[in-house]
Amino acid sequence: MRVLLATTQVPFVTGGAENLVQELQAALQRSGHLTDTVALPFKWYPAERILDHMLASRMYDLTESSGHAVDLLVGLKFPAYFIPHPNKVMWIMHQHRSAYDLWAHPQFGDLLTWPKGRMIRNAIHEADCALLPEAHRIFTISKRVAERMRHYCDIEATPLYHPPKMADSFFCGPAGDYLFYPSRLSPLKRQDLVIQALAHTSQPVVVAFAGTPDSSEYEVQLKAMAQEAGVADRVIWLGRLSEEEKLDRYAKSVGVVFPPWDEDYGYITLEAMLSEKPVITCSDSGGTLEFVLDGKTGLVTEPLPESLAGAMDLLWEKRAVAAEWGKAGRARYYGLGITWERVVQSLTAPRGHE
Amino acid sequence: MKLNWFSPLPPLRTGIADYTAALLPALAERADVALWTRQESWDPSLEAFAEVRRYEQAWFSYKEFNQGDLNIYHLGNNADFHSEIWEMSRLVPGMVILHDLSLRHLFARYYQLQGNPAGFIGEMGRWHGPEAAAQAESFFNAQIPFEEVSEHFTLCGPGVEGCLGTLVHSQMAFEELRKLGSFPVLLAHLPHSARPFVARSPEAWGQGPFRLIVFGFIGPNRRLEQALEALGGLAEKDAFTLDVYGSVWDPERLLQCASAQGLAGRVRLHGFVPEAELDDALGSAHLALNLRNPTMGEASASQLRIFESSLPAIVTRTGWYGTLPEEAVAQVDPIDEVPQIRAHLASFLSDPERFRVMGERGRQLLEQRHSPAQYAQDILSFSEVCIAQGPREVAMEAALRAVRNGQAWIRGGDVASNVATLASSVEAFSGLTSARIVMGWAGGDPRS
Repeated sequence: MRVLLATTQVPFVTGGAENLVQELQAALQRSGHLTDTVALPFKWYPAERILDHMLASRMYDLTESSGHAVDLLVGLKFPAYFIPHPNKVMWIMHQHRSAYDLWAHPQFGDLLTWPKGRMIRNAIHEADCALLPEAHRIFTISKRVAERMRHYCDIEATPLYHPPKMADSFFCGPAGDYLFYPSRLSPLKRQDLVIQALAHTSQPVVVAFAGTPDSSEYEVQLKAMAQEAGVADRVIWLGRLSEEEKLDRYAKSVGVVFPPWDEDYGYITLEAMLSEKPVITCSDSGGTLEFVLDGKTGLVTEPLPESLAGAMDLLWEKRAVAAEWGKAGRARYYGLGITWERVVQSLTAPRGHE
Repeated sequence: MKLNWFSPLPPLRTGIADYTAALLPALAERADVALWTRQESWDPSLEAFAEVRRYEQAWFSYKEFNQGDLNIYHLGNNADFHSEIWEMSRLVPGMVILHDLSLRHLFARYYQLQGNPAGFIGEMGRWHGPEAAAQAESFFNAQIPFEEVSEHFTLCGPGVEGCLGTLVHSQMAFEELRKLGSFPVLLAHLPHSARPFVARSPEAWGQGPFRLIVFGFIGPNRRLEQALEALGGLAEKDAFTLDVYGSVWDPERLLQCASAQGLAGRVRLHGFVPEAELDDALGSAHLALNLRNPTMGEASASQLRIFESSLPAIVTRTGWYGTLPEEAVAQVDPIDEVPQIRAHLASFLSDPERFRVMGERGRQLLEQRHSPAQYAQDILSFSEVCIAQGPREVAMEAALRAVRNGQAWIRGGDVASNVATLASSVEAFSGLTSARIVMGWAGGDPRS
């Protein structure tokens, strides 16, 4: 089949979404499909610009290209997933969260800071409700994204998991003396919570953060916080790592601490599982909770510094337990059947063969 | 539902402040209400029903407003009370409750204070054409007084432009607003919170002297000179006295008119008095004169107060007054005022009981149509409509931006000539159309 992937791209920003698209395209091609990606540029401010991009999405004709029919359009991200096509499938990374669960968030809500924010939010909601069902199948990357879609739009979607990048390359090595947190530095990822937790640990826990900051101000804030909390000597700032360095750091960690706020999916959880490392996460961390089994493959705590500290202390002190949970995590990963073959099969199944 | 309510608040001396205070208990039973104001102080009794929030134009937070479901703005013709509310309505679209159809005084003063007469002239031209602009310019050049600018140039357009819906209180306003835009318009009966009914004694009623009363802001349009002329021509004019409460545009002139009609000493000017005193005066009066010509078009809070006192009234058959049933008021045609006023006064003398019953009919009308509870429910229902209008508005704006972008490279024509493309763009966008939504009387047309 000739398959087009419709996604959205914020210029100069590359992250998990872009990796997913590349991996999906490669997987489709391995399965013999001719595949390409259309990435629509996206700017979310001023808020009216969102409406412009939505409108622009509806005006594209991707039914064929150079005289050849496009057999399947896979909608991946808002608002590119509005591009019309007679044979459309959604595999949604997330809706425009500023219009939904992040709307009234005291820290991360941005759409409601605009004069017509509420009207635009309602327009996004109306468009999602009216246009998402144009697809004959709707998948989401996780149960969490599907839950939000059901809650806000009353639309049923099927979670469809996929492997993280370089899934076959992760390995387990002897544990060193650090907990690993590889993620871009962002308030949503809550590195600040981890730093606050360090101040409450009774064990000499060390945390290695790897990733680039969303803003230099946030990085400065985090470092100042560590200093003020008296834990600066137990925080390692690794910055951006190469893929090989990341694999190595996973392998040699005691475990992974990953307490984001309401994550869509959480590659880090899966990378940790593949590395046979236990995961500490929080009860409001969203997608991570679909994989971490409390007391079996890791720990789920309240999103409070003291609770997180207790979990970090446990892994630090009981290395054998950590190793056992890590093994269980890897087994769980393979038990879930998370493969690109399954993704491709689900997305390309003929209508009526779901 | 959470509503952000922008209105003058008591103790500001405006009927709209009183309207808000009277409506608030019923509204607060049905919604969470936040009263937003620039006033330094307000009647603390309001806080029993709603949070009062102050905002400063320079630094308010849209985040605060967007936490509510809808902003509701009250616009009237007085720039002192409504300029800032209007400015806010331009920033954050919401429901406009239009208390006066004509807003030309509001905008004339607004632009005058801004030192920007061209702004007013431009708006008059934009909404009413070159003749209106010319008259506005003549006014600002001190060539004509403002009263000579035609009352047909209401300039209500800027007051409702870009709103999500407008609620009005008169058929005249409803007809005018329907022509203006693609937003929903609702007609609702102006609410009035009535004190308990006290019947007037038929025995005491029939005994003179009979007290006529008029109150409020008395300008030439209240037709008091014409009423004095009518009374002066009545053979039994000494059966009546006239009490005037409130402000009079030219007290000397009015008293001279009274003297000329042989009514010296029978007309008393009281000025503004405490509310309780005015209530007592209405309670002891026999007939109210509540004429309007020309009318600003809107429903009359003063008439509702007259109804509340079970007081019959002579009104002008125009605007909202013209929709009142004949059994509740005595109507006078604008082109035949003096004889008809005189005829009603004579009729009163020959059958005062008929007028007492008319007063009771007015009271019944008030209780049936103008209940704050019903009005509050109408606002809630209409709020849902306005909220739903929001996505349509931003979708249309996006489509218009697309068309305007096209203007950069489409030679010839203008935005209007691309309407067909615009419409299809909007429909392609979300299946929504720009169809005008027009609603009727809340609760059904009372004339049917």
